[in-house]
Amino acid sequence: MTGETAQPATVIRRSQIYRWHQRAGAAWEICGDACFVRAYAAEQDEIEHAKKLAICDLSLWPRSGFRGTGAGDWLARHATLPARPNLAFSTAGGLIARLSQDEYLLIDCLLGTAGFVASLDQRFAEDEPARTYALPRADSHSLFAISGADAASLLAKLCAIDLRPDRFEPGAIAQTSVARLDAIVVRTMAQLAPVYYLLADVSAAEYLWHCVLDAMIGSHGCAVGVPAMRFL
Amino acid sequence: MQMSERNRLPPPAGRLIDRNRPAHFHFEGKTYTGFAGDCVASALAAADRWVLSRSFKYHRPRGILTMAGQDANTLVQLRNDPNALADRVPIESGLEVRGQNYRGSLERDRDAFVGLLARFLPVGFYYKAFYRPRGVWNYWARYFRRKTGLGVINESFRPDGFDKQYLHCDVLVVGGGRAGMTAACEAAMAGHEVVLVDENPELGGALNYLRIDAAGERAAALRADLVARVAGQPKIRVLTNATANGWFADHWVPIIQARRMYKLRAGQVVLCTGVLEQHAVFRNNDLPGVMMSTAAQRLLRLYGVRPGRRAVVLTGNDQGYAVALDLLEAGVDVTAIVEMRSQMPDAPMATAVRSRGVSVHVGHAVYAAHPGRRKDHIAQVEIRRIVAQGICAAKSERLDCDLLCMSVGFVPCYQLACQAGARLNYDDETAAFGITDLPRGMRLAGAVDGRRDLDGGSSNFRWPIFAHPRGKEFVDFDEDLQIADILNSVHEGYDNVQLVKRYSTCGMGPSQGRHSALAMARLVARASGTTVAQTGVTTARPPFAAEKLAHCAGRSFYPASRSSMHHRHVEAGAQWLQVGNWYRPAWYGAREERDDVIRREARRVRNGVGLIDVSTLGGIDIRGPDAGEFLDRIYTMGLALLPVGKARYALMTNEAGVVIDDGVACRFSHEHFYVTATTGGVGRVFQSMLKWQAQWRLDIDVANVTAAWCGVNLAGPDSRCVLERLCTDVDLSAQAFPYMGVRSGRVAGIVARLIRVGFVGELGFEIHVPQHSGEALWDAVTEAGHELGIGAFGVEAQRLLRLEKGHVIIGQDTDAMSNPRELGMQWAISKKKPFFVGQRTLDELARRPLQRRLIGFAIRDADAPVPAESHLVIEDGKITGRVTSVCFSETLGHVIGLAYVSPRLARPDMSISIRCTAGAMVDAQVVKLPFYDPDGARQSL
Repeated sequence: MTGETAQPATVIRRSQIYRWHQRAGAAWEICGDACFVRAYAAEQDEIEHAKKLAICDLSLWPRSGFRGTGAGDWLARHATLPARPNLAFSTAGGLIARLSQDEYLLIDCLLGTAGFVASLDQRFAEDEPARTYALPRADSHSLFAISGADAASLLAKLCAIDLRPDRFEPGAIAQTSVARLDAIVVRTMAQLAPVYYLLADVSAAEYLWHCVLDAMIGSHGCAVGVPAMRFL
Repeated sequence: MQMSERNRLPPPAGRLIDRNRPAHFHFEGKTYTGFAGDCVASALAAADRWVLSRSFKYHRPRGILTMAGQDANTLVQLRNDPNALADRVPIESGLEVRGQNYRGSLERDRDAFVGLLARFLPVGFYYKAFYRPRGVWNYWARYFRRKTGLGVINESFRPDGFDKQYLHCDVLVVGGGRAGMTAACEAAMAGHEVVLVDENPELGGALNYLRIDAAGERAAALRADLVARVAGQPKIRVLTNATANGWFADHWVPIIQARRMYKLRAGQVVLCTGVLEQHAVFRNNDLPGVMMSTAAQRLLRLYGVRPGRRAVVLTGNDQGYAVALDLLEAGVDVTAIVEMRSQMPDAPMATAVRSRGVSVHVGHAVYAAHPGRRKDHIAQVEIRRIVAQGICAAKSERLDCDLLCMSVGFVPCYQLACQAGARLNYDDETAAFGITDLPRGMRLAGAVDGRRDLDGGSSNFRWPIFAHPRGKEFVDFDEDLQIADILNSVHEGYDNVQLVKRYSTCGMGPSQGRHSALAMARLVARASGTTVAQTGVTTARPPFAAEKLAHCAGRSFYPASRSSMHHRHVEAGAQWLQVGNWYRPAWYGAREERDDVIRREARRVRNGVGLIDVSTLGGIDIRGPDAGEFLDRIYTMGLALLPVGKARYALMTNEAGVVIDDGVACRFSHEHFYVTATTGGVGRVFQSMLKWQAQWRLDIDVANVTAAWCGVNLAGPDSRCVLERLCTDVDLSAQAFPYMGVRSGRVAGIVARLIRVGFVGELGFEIHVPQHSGEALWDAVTEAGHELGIGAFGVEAQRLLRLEKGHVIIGQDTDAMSNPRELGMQWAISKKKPFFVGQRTLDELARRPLQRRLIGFAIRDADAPVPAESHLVIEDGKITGRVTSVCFSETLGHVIGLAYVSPRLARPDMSISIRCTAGAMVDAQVVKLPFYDPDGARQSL
């Protein structure tokens, strides 16, 4: 379901900031039990913004997490894993971020809900691997994608880590503080412009969203829908 | 009245101004016209206005000294900005500027008489004169603060738009002069990311205003070449109008630019900060019209302003001749050069000056400057022959002039280097400073490193200090300190430069000793019989230049946590209670109806069904083969043997036996416990669990899932009816799902964890669902309970209900010393376990007499005053306890509460005395807990 008929309040899973999206004139698309912003403006304009500076709310995008001394061995049977902690790796289905020796964060690929995360969750339920624990990453964190040539400069207003594209390369992970919140920053493998995934405590999603927007003032950045981010 | 620009020079002078963009601004109520690119001081100078401010102590007229924003002479008042530097603040149309620190008018300051009393106000007179009788200083302080000081703060001004930004680079180059631009290009060509910072509007440094050859052409060509090279380097980021304001460990440098503070972390730092010109010390050296030679050059080249009509140049180095040539070129009548050295140099520029017919008084000094009739500008200089270091002959000659340029020496801009731990060394032979012992990763380049090839390697004149019997030879302009003030400090025993600084306040003003440190060191050295090398200078500390509090504050970050149901509470008219970062509904309704609303919400729970958002409660998943064993060690109750599908109260103590948190431990499978914790305590509980697990190394995983799950508590006798409409995959009957049972199921199609708990003392279900489904759950439950009159209740009603039930709230009814025995919670301590955290201490405490006890009390007299939380319990005139919780219970019809009392009184039907507001005493009766439903029948329905 897409367009005017799709509204976030009609589905079960709702982003913490869906009201902001509504006020901003979002058009919606529904995927499963969640609702995503398709666009606030013309898609081509949003793509141009995404290349320069943009933010996209992906809080409901499918993701999961596994931890435990058995997690690496079990996951390795289903996907190629990053070689070391604080490194992310893209597969056809999604992104696997290794957060520690024994902890992995999985995010579905933006090109479509390919079911990468869902299938791994399903396999986990079936396999019941020893000393491997599922983590509720789909709900514990908000997920914002911040994109564009000016994204690092924007994040420099919120975070002390050097996130310049040539220093924080695709696949790099920083577990740090953003706007005084514990946060995970992942540089994705996007080709056309740098894209950073910003994950933080979901209860502070509204706060963080507005922090990013406030930091954007004067930088001509804006919020965009998922398709624009997907384009990168 | 609009003032004309009588001192403005034609192009090409004035490289910073745009003559096509005039700007009108106001100074002291008069309108002036300048050009875009002008600063306040240059525009006023163009209009022949020279007095900018009044001095701190003696209210002397002050004007341009450096034209570099490095002195306090140009401090002016803007509407929202006191102590703005007139030689930095750009003009703009409508700008309103005033002088500072005067009474009456800037021209005729009625407080200028203070200068006549200078001999009665020696250094340290504050300390000596106003400390007796006791307390008199409080009177005088008000007077002095009125008479001295700087600008006026506009307290209604609210700055906005200030922010901070982190910045990273391989090489930070501070100073955009020749050395800085060269260093930046070299570093960039070597592949480094470079940030080049300069405090001026344009790169170029001294090349922008200095004459480095007799023809006066080489500097501009050099500058143009270097600026082009910098512009051609993509790896160089240039920040102009930006001040590197300090140095901190690991090359962390705050850079102030406009409304932003950059927090820059560099791999290496190259300081190309150049030098600061110093003034000569002679009588009336502070008169407007007396300025540094580089100030005159800045006025000429940067702003196209003629600094005077008739000039004298006082020099002790070759730079003075360059200035003289500049002045001559600008049409200024250079009356004379006063050359302090014993010989005139054989330099091309000196020759050029002489060829222009300028007389040179070799071996002479300016002994005094004299003001004109209005006493606000230089009109003459009195020169004398130097007969010994700092000593002049008796015979003097007077020269008419309205401008005196001083060129007597330079000090490296050493502040950042010294903040980084470098040493400043003085060479008594060359009278110059050098910087050594730089930290790793810091380098110097250019004039700051003693490489003075731009001005022909001009050296410092060794002693440009000439005492005058009538004083007013200022060492420190900021604080009006004269030669005698420094010498008297030494004579009074403060013979160390650091002590002199603190006693006299020399170097403690806005310019932080940039122009007084060397002169003070020289005077202290002479007075104490040491050398300047031995004396040294005072410590340089950040910030280098004044920075606004708004810069330090920047963009504010105050994280706020909200549950996914937050906006439903907003829509329902919630009043908010902040708990840590969380915002919780206190009650739903108007503030003025608080008590009525809370009672109504509580009544609904007792008689029907209510709904409260409990998402803020902590949630921790403990999973793994040793999960039960872990919880047995963490909590006081036995949990390892808790059956699957059951929950148990969980009390947590620390090693000192102090109660630090509580919650409910729910067993969803043999290897999976879900433990709740208090809103404010979950972070500490989780950290504590991780700490113990790091020691015990049990086979478990501990995950803080507070944010991942949200929840509601559906409470009241009708709660089961509501839930049955939404949950069909769990048998909700009392038999199948009894009190303290836990189940997994779906509520309104949402995956849920269900817990039968009774914090408010009624049949109730906590429903925990994934966070993003929280609002959908709230909507579904509200709709399902509509027919049954369901309503939301807030934290205040919950507190009342739990108090009726006698449940404690950790942090409200406990403090940093509370142990389970004091709380009457021995029932929550397992005696069968070999260990839990705090057990040993509790065993010890059990052998000692109880010091206090938390009891329930009731006040049945409806006319009695109602105590408040923290009101004191008085026994035999002594404080023996305090009230922790209290409220009126509509259910019971009287006031109830919890209080700590002495153990002697902790028996039902005993009477306690509570001291209420204004000392009113009220008697309360000790009551056995709980107050309500002692058998727990209602929660077990």
